[in-house]
Amino acid sequence: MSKTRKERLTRIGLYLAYTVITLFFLFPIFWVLSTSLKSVPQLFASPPIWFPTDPAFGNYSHVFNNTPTLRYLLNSALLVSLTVFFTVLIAVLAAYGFSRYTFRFKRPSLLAVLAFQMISPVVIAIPLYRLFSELNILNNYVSLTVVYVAVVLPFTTWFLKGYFDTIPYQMDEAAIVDGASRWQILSRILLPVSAPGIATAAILAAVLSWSQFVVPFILLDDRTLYPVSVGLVNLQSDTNAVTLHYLAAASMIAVAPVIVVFVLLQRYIVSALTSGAVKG
Amino acid sequence: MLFINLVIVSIETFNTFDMVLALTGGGPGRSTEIAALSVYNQIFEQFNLGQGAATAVLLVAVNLIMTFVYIRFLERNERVE
Repeated sequence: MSKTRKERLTRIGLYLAYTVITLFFLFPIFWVLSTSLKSVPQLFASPPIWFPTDPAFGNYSHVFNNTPTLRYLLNSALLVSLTVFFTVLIAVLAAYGFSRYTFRFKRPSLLAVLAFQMISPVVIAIPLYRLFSELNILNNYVSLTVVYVAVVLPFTTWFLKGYFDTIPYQMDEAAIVDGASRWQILSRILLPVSAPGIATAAILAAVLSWSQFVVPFILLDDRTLYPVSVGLVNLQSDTNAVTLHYLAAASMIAVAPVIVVFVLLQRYIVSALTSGAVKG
Repeated sequence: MLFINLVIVSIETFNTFDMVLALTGGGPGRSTEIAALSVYNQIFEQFNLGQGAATAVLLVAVNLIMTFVYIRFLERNERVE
């Protein structure tokens, strides 16, 4: 009797904690949404207005018509898809090598890959800026994608290496006995088995490249090429007039596709973030 | 495990750039100008490449020390085969 009562109390406590934590993280998003539907006087109302009566949807049409937010979104989408494609291509091969071969300096090379990830992107971007301006390839998506891939690759390689390690080596051995070449082992045995892992790696690479800020911020000056993260910050600093409500509306438009993708792929993303292979 | 996460989070926080740039821009004055932002400001606002690059080298040094600590603890937990 007292045990079930205790259990119930714990459960109530847990859900209370969940609620508080969820509200804590949802609040900024709620605030942006609320701000994006306000008119200018409502922005500065004191006490603040939580739920604007007669929401100003005009803010959204203003953003669509007068700011390049949609363009920024398309730029981001292009960059992300290019980056994910090349990252996964290279990471699969690298992770296969790290997982299945033994070679000299394997451990140091693995740790070097890890160390690269720890270095601040500002430090990476500044020498690249000098180099790219000498070579005249600033404002160029090809060079930018190369940098994106380089930034996202260490994490993806480590993740996939961890995933390949969970696949028993006996499967490779069985394939070798059947006369398979190294390439056939990868393409016919490992790839089909690790499809979920590769999908997860692709999702994580997409998340990472979507949220890149420093690299495009430094390597692009052409406004029409900005991805959405840099574009929004520039929208903020563009004008002196009160544009907080427009900025909020643009932010909502910018996060909307991410939220949609997250809801669609929720299952995979959550398992990606909680699976044991993610260690940094 | 807990300590490894502590180190990762420390490194990531140390390298924060975008949050500070968007929220305060380093101001008021230079009171919230963290290391990464300082590198950026010195190079792209004051056009002082040498000084900015020197700050960046310091930033790398701190990053490398933290990475070293991280790898030491990683190896103690025998994560790397």
